[in-house]
Amino acid sequence: MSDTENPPAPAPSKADVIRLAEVVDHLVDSMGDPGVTLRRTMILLDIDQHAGTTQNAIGERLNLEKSVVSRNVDWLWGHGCVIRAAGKTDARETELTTSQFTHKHLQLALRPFGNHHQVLKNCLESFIALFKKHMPSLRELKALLTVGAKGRATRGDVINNLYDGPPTTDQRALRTLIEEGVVRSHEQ
Amino acid sequence: MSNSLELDDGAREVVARSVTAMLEAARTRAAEHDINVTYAVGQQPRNNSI
Repeated sequence: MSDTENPPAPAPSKADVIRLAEVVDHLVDSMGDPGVTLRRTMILLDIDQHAGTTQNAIGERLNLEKSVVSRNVDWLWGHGCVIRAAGKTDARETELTTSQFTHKHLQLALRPFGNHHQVLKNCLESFIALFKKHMPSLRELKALLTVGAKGRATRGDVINNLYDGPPTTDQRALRTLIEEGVVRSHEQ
Repeated sequence: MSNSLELDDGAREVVARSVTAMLEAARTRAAEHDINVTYAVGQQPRNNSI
């Protein structure tokens, strides 16, 4: 998305950045954990977009190794986000769909995107690409968007908009953003 | 002494492009199906203080 041949995107309004941050909140609600990585979130969105899909198909669409897809699908199934069923045409294949609870929250997350799963997946992919060493979590994305909405934010501003997790976890999220060079810290 | 935080230029650009993509997708859907893509009261995820 950050194509240097394209002209810079117009500066977004604060209200629109907040709306994007609300999308992140709904994604957190869909899985009940702000520590979920953006990669795992993309896999969940892919399953929601292609109800009845298989792990092989997810891997092909998202260009992910089988082991990565398998590990993430296991987590999503273990946390009640996806349902597994024997394939209708081939019982050796397992078909995946999102659970009703998760689907409902994803619908809310997708609402500002006009229910276009692919556009939201593309946005998550572009946020992943900002990070050089680390796979970002939804918590880190929310922290980033809070700074983006504020223009200039204090640590307190950011932490007040996270998910009431342990202070060390929230501080670590901020430290990661600074270490990755995504957020700059200025002494006042 | 406190620190103020600011987005790096690259991150600011990705946020801007993501918002643009979101608004375009919403406009397309609204035009196709004549639907409202904003959150109604009670659908907001949490009391955001941003």
